[in-house]
Order: sequence, then structure tokens, then C-alpha cells
Amino acid sequence: MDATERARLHAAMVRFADGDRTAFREVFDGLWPTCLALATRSRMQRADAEDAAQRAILTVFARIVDLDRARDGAAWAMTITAFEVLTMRKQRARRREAARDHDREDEQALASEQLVAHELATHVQALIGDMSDRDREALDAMLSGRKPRGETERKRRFRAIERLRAAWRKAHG
Amino acid sequence: MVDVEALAARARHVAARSRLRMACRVGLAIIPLACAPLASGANTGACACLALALFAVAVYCRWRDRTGLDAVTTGLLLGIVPLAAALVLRACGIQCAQLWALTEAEAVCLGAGATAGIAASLVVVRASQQRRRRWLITILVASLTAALGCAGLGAAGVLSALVALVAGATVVWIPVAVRAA
Repeated sequence: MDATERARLHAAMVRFADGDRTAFREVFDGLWPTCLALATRSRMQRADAEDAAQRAILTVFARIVDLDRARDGAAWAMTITAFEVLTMRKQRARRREAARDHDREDEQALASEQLVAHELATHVQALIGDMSDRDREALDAMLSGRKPRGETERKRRFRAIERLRAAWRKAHG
Repeated sequence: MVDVEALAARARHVAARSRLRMACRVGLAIIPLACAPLASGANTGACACLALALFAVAVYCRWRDRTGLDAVTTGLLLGIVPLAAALVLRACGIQCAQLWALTEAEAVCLGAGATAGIAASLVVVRASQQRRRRWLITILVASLTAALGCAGLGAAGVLSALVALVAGATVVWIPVAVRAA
């Protein structure tokens, strides 16, 4: 944007701030590409840059009634855009940190779940180890996912499970 | 991808809302101005009506453009002169007599009103553009503020202040208008 365009944009902003509603389009058309270009140049992702530029232009129009006529309106709008870009960056950084913390929490939760599962398995294995050979065979076959071959094996498995349950209750309440 | 037209519509809406909010901020000045005569025992209904009228005029003019905004500020400031004079009279226990009788209360109202009117014209004369509109708004707002203050003194007080204000402003304004023409 050269000095002439800048002066024209400032004049339009002053007219709009003073109550000339017809100057809106001129101000918007002048400011939007400027804000977007500034946000895009800030090495953010395109979507984030567009978000920051949109926020900036809405902030400019929300505060335009308080525009300082003695200062350059375009520079004021660019300051607001730069501020919005910084805010957006901070928000993104905070969100990334939060996501990282969340992942860390997930990892910790997973590790503790694995530990609990391992302890349970150890206890179950210890109980199975104390059982008779027939029961141990029946339970091993069941845990390995093999289907029972006939009614007798099914009943044997059922009884082995019952005995395991009784042993668990006796050991852990 | 940004929908530029939708964004423009949103920006226009945001600007309009912000302008209205700025215009309504004048209420912060009008509320104490309305409460002062009420505290000195003025008629509540009259005060409420005048305060509402003043608020409506001030918000509309401030919302419309900068000329209105500046004129409302000037009008409120100059209207405080007869308002303060009326409050002092009330504090001294002085009230206006009958409508066409000229007592000290009416004289004070006339003096304060004329001072405000002359000052309003002198201030507006210095403006570079839209002088007539600015003058009308200033006089209207100053008159309503003065009437709000004088409401506690009675109809004679209100009338004296208003007549003096408008007459004083017009007397100063006519030579300026003639010269400009």
C-alpha cells in the first residue's frame, strides 16, 4: 500500500467514524487485504492467519468510533492485526501444550492400567498354579480360546471356573 | 476460504452496534443530571419525561454523526449553567411565583439561560462545517438540560430559562448567519 492509498484509506476511515455510512465499503475493501496480507506473512498456517485477520477486522470496526484522527488509520488497523496474530499464536501454543499434557496423562493412565492388568494376571496365574492338573488344563484350554470338545469338557471347564472363583474369593475377598 | 461478503456484513453489524453503544454512553451523564433536581424535590414525572426526551435526542444525535456527538457534548455542558442556577435557587428555598410575574427566581433563570444561549452560539460559530445543524442540536440539548434543572422551580422558571436561552443564542447567531449568507 503506497502513501496515497494509505491517505485515502485514512480519510475514508475518518469519514466512516464521523458517521458517513457510505464509506464502509471503501474502508472494508482497503483494510481486509492489508490485514490478511499481514497475518499471512506472520508464518502461521493459512487458516490461522485468516482467523486472525477476521478477528482483527472485526475489532477495527468495533473500535472505529474511537479512531484517533491525528494518527494513521491503516497503521492502527495493522497494529490491531499484529496483536491478534500474537494472541492467536499464544492460543495455539497453549492448546498444543494442553494437548501434550493430555497425551502425557493418557500415557500415564495406560501404564497404570497395564500394571493393574499385569498384577491381576499374576494373581490369577498364581491361583491357577495352585489348582489341580485337570483344572489347570481346562482353564489353559479355555484361556487359549479353544472350543470345548463335547459336553464332558464343557462341564470340566465350568467346574474349574467355579473353583477358580472360589479360590479368588478366598484369597482376595 | 473466507466468505468476504459475510465478513463485511458482520463488520458492518459490529460497527453499528459499537456506534449505538457509544451513543448510549451519554446516559451516564444524563442520569446524574436527572437525579439532581429530583433530589432537590422536583416533580418526578416531569423530571422523568424531560430526562427521557433528553436521552432520546442525545442518543440519536450522537449515533448519527460526529457533528451530533460534538453538539450534544456542548449542549449538555452549557445546559448545566441554568440547571446549576436552578438547583442553587432550590437549595436556598426560592421558588418561582406565578407564570408572568418577574421575581428574583425568574431573573436568575433568565440570566442563566441567556448566558448558556450566548455561549452556545459563540462555541458553534467557531465550527468549520455544518454550523446550522450543530447550532440547532446544541440549543435543543441545552434547552432540555436547562428545563430539567428548572423543573423544580415551576413552569415560570422553565419558561424563563428556555426563552432566555433561545433568545440569547438567536441574537448572537443572526449576524453570523447573515455574514455567511
